[in-house]
Formats: sequence, structure tokens, C-alpha cells
Amino acid sequence: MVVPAGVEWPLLIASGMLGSAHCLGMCGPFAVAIGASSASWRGNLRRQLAYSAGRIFTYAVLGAAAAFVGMRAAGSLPAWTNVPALLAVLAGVLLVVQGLFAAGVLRHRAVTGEASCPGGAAFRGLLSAKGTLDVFLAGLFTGLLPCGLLYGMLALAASTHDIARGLVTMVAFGAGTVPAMVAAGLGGSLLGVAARRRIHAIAAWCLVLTGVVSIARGASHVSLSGEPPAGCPMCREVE
Amino acid sequence: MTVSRDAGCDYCGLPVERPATPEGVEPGPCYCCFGCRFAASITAAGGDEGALRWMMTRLGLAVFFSMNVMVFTMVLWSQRDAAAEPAAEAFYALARHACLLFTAPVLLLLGGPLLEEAWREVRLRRPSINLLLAVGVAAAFLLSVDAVLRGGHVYFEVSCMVLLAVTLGKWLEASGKLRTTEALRELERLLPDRVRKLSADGEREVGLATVRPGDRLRVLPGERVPTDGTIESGRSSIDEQAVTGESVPVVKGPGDVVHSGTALIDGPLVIRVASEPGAGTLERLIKAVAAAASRGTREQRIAERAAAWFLPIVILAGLAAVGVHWARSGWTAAGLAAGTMAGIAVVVVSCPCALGLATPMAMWSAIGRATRRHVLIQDGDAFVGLARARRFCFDKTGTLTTGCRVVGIEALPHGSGSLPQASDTAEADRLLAVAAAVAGGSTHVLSRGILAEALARGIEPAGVTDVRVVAGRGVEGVLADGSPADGSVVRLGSAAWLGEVGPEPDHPECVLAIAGRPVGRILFDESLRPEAAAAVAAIASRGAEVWLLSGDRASRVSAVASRLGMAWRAPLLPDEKLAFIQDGQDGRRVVMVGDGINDAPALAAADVGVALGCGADVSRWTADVCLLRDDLSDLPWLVGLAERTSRTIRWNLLWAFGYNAACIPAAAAGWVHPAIAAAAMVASSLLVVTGSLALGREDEG
Repeated sequence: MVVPAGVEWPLLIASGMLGSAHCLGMCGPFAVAIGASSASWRGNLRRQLAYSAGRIFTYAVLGAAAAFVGMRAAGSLPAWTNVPALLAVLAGVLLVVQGLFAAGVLRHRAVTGEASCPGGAAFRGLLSAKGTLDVFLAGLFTGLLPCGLLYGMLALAASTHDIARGLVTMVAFGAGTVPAMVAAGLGGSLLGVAARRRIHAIAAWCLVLTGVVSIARGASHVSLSGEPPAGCPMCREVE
Repeated sequence: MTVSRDAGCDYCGLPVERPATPEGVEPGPCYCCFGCRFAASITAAGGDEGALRWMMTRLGLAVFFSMNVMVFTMVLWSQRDAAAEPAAEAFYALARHACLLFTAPVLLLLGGPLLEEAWREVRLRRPSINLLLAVGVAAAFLLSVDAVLRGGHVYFEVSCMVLLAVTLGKWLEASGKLRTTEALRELERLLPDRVRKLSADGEREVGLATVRPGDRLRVLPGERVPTDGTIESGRSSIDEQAVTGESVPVVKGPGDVVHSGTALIDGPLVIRVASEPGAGTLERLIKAVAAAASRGTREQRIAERAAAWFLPIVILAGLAAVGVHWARSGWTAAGLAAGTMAGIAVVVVSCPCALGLATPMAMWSAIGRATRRHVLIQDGDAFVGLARARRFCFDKTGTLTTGCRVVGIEALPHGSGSLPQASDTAEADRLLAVAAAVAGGSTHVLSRGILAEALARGIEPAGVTDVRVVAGRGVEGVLADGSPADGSVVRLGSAAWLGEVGPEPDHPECVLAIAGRPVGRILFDESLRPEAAAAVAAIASRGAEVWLLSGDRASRVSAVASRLGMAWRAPLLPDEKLAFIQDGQDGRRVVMVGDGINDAPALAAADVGVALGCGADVSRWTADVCLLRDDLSDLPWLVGLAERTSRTIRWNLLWAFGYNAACIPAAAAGWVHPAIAAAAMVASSLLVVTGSLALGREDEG
């Protein structure tokens, strides 16, 4: 293998950690809303952690599901298609694109139309609820919100074609987002605008790097397509 | 079983048949569906904050436990038969127990509301698919518990996913329905809850519902008039846009009539209440629009008939699936389980019955959108028919042309039928006073022109009693001025009705006749509405015929018609107009656009009657659609909305029929896993709901 397998998980955490600076735009207001209804600093921290735990739980389930789908796809498609490799490349491309958007190299089209979600009011109710359980559930639903970064990570999880590994991939990514989210919920503006911008840029290029590594890994498998990739039980069955 | 159709769902406001038990009408709040009942408990429609939190937490916890079940189920799904080692066996047994552990709370959390609803329906003797769903969920759970205890395949994820999908799907629908009726609730919110009632012992705040006719209320600037009434004291500019669409405020003083829902701009008023509670102008307007939807459309009635057949078919297909799968397996337990799964899948794919949802969702969304633009739809069928209309007929005066100013009064002192000998000002004024008294009984543009002229000249309308409108012809009353002709019939209307007076004038005219003899005529100037040309061109560009039908003289009608590029027929008496419209209906939909009151017969005869300037009094509206703003450019917009609505309804119905026709057999054959069916069900709801809600949003393009 060109890239050692161990390279990715620290990178995942890092991209989660730095990528979350970019995600604060979407999920930051939720974290702030959760903090708003808490009187003490300590209580707020507990709520923030519960909220993040909820998010990570959802990420983990999604990761397991993605890995399961990847595994099934690998099993049901013809033997010559190297599904994990293709998924890794797909994930890489998604992450690179997402990273380039974040870095400002690519530009989003302006999103028009009102955002409408029937559960919106109920979701806001959970965010401001007193109980820690409600905050955990709010985090759980936050994990289901559409997010390009998340989809890239999920494609990566799918490429692991193993439920446990897919799950851990997403937990690692989720854990990386905790510091920034908690910080956002606790203090809001601990960092100045300039510092945030710099981190944002680093985060963007970190995403691109994760994507490139993923593409390289996928490509390395494709180049070895003569022999089945290691660790795929379905492919072994086909023999 | 008796039902009353006047009630609306207590959550979304859509019409609902209030079911009657043998003991009488069911007490308490009434909801149109399980989704609304559930959504009402989430949004705490009853006002119980604690219950709201708990219901939301309940849903969240159910999602949390279901996610756990899904992870362990995926682990079980990836189990390979080859792995027969004891350690792996123990691991998978553990996963099965974990599924059981996490499924039980989901059943407790979400099973309750579904079971309650199913039981309620059984008690009302109108069971629906909810009962089948409850049975299916229970069957999947019991089969799986049995499998955990005795070995075999578990289906816990089916119980979880079906419960979750049903709850979320129904909630989604309920939220969608709520959004479609938002426009009406916005109108309702215009009325204040509390009003200032004046009595002998001073001023007191009371609830609006307690106000009775004859009460005196004080209304302050910035507030809305809470009921219909007359002004006792005070003077104020009043914004009547909510009920008449008119954006220019009118000044009203003592003795003037005010309508509920209109807003005071400056001075405070004391008004004497004239309307019963809930029967003011605004409330009647809201009821008229709500009634439009409760009547339903042709497509809806077809869908309702189809839906009646639907439940038995689903039951049969489900039972057949269980039986056939079980029999083909040689009556084994595994075969029964597979059959049960197929049966559950059948029930789940056929729920929610998008058939029942497809038309009303789209209709209500469109009606709400139109209401926001002050276009009131009173008949949904007719409104959708606009999309297929091939012939549009327009009235001229007041529809394509604006309000008319009086430019001349010609009196014939002896009723000789010849030209007036001299212009006698006193005679002209007497004529105007009588004409204005008769004109006061009509809202026709020419009548309004006469009244305005009388007001400008300082002439008090007088001398006529028992005024009534003769539709399409004019107005008549009984002369009561003490003159020799006292007691004879006085008429104001077209020359075609009352006879020619003098040579053909260059202006539109109105003849006044006493005891059947013309005594004078009033001349008006008339100009095209600024938006008329664009509106007519927009209709014509859709490939529809545009006709100008008028009682006015042929020369003037043809001039207007040629400027607008329309075909024309004139002069037409009301029955000739009717005949023309009915002739055109030969397989085509004919739209009549005219004055809401004076063109009533023609509007009623046409497939779609569209009226401008309906006035505030809903009870007098005869048209299917009222353009309250009195703006002709609303017509092409409305036709566009009707086209989009019609397309959405057809697409919704096609989807509902097609989806069920394709998925029920597939599910019965055992090709669709119930969890997939549950996901498809939510997706199907989402498609119908979002497609319909798109109609309520701002215009495309």
C-alpha cells in the first residue's frame, strides 16, 4: 500500500476539529441557543457535552449504516468492481470539493427559497428545554441535518465496508468537532475574527488533504485490482 | 351514522367530518387524522407546556432507541451462516437481546398514541389502516420475541421503523396541512380577543365572543374594528384592505357602517355593534373561503370513492400475502414469519393513503396563496377549471373600463322622447336627485358615478322608495316625491331596456324613465383600465378565445374590443348574454369575468365566474372567484395558479395511484422489506406535502 492505513484517523479527528470551525456557521447557533438557557458555567458545559454526545451518537449510527451499505454493495456488485476503492475515491472527491468551497476556491451558488422544516418549532423547543436528556436529543437530531462535510465523511465510512470501522470513523470525526462546538456554546467569541479566519483557512486545506489521502488510498486499491483488497469478507466469499 | 361537515379540524383547520358515536357527537377536540392529533399534542394545542415537552422527548427517545436497534440489526444482517463458532454465536445472541431491549421502549413510547387512535376508530365503527398498522407492529414484535427465546430470525427493526415512520409521516402531513391553512388563520388573527365595551358604569374590557348586537364599543387608532357596526361618534380614516382589498383608506364618520377586520388609522371611534358574534364581515369572508374547500373538488370525490375501496383491498392483499407465503413454505414457522413480514409491508406501503391527501393539500395551498393576494376562491372546482378554460368572456363597463364620471345630464321635461328644448339646470338637478336615489340601490360603476356627481353638486338623493336591482338591466324603485307621478315606477338603466332617447351619443349613457316613459339621460366618460390590455393579452396568449360582451351600443363596444384585440357581441340583453355563454359551453369551459353583483346571472351560468369589485358583503357574492383588489392583472395570475394547482393535483393523484399499484403487489410478493416500505412511506408523504406546499409559496419565475 502506498499510504499506511494508520494515517487516516488522526487526520479524521483533525479535519473534524478544524472543519468544525467551518461548520460553526450552521450548528454554532444551536450551541449558543443551548447555552442561553443555562445559568451557570458548569451547567452549560454539561449541556454542551450532552449536545455533542447526541451528535456523535447520530454520526456513529450513520457511519455504521454507511459501512453496512458499502459492504452490501461490495457483496452484490460484480467481483471486478472494487467498491471500497471507488467509495474511497468518491469520499475523497467530496471532501476535496467541500474543502475548496471552504477555502473560497470554489463558490456556492446563492441558496434561494425559504428553509422549511415542519419539525423546526419542535426542534427549537428541545434546544431550549431544561433537561439534559432533551439537549442530548437535540444533538441527536442535529446530526441528521444536511451537511456536505458529513456526507464526505460518510462516503469514507462506507468505504471501510465494516460496521465497526465505519462507526469508529464517524466517532473520530465527531469527536474532532467537539472542542469548537463546546467553545462556541460556552464563550461564543473566544477567538478574534482574524484568528477564526486563519483557522478557517487551515481547516479548509486540512479537508482537502484528507480528501487527497482518501483518493490516494482508493487509487492504490484500484491499481492492485488484480488481487482482492484485504479486509473485505464479501470479496473473499466470491472466490 | 350522522356527521356534520361544518366543523374544521382543531389542529389544521381543514374540513373534517365530526364523527358521531351512538351516544351523540364525540365531545372534546376533533382532529382530521392521527397526525393532527399527534401534532396537536406536540405543539400543546391544549396549552399544556409540560405535556408538550414530554411528547417531544418521547419522540426523540424513540428515535434514539430505534437507532440502536438499527445498528444491532445491521450487525445481525451481516452475520454469515459460516460463522458457527460458539463465540460468534454468543455475540449474535447478545445482539438479538440488545434489539429486544431497545425495541421495547419504542413500543411503549410511540405505540400508545397509535393504539389509542386505532381503538377510538374501532369504537366509532370506522376502523382505518391505523388498526392494521398496530396489528402489524405487534405481530412483528411478538414473532421476534419468540425468535429470541427459541431461535430464528428477529424483526425488531420492523416494529421500530414502522412505528417511527408512521408517527413522523403523519406528523409531517399534519404540519403540511397546518401550513396550507395559515393564510386563513392570519385573517382570523386580525380580530382582537378583547374589546372595550361601554356601558352605563363606564368602560370595561370584555371578550369579543360576549359582545352582542346593540353593545357600544370603543376602538382606538391602530386597532381593528372587532365587529360590524355603525359609528356613533368619532371620525377616522379606515383601512379596509382586509375585507375589500382596497388599499386607499376611506374616511368615515357618525352614521357610517364599519366592517369587522378593518383598521382604524387616526381618530378613535365609538361603534354600535350590528353583527352577531362570529358573523361579522371578516368572519363571513373566512367562512366563505373555508366552505369552498369543504365542498371538495371532482378529483377529490373520485379519490374518496377510490379510498373507500382501498382498505378492503389492503386487508385482502395483506392476508393473502401471509397465507400464500406460509402455505408455500409448507406451513413452517419461518414461512409464517416471512408471510407476516410481507403482510406488514403491504400495510405500510399503502399508508398513508396519499389518495386522500393529494387533492385537498394542493387545493388548500392554492386557496391560501390566493387569499394572501386578496383573491377569494369560493368554489374549488371552478377555480381548478380555470386551467382548462378555452373561452373567456368579459363584461365591458367596470370590468375592462374604470369607474365613470358624469359628463352630461339631458332632461326631457315632458317625457316627449324628443331632444330637450333648453338646458334647464333646475330640471337637471331634479333628475339627478331622483337618479341618485335609485342609483343608491346598486353598486354598478355607473350608479357610483351618479352618486359621486350628486355629492359633488351638493344634491341630496331623494324621492324614491323600494329600490331594487333588476339584474343585468338596471335599477328600479317607486317615486315618492309628491309630484303628479307619485307612486309610479321609476327606472334607471340601459337604452336597450328603457328605450332610445335622442341620437346616439359619443359617451356611455344611462336612461331614466318614469312610468315607462324616458324622462332624461345621463352621459358618462369611460376609460380603459390601465392593466386591461396586458391582462387580456396574457389570457389570449394562452390560446383561449377572448370575448367582450356588453349591453352597450355596438359602436362603442367594437371600439374597445378592437383596441384590446377581442371578439365582441353587443348590444346584449342579460338573457342574450346567458345564451351566448351557454352556447359556448358546448364541450368547452367558459369563464365570465364581470361585476360581482350586476353580472350575477352570467357569472352563475358560466363554468367559472370571476368577479371584480365584490364589495364587503360576502352574502351577496355570486361569483366562484372574487378579485377583491379590483385589479384585472390578478386574472392571468390566477389562471397561472390554477394551472399549477391542476398540474400538482394530477401529479399527486398519479403518484398516489401509481405508487400503490406498483408497491402493494411487490410488497405482497415479499420483495419489499417492511423497513424499506416504512422509508418509502415517509418519502411518499414528503413528496405529496412538499409538492402541494410549493403552490402556497411565492410565484415561480
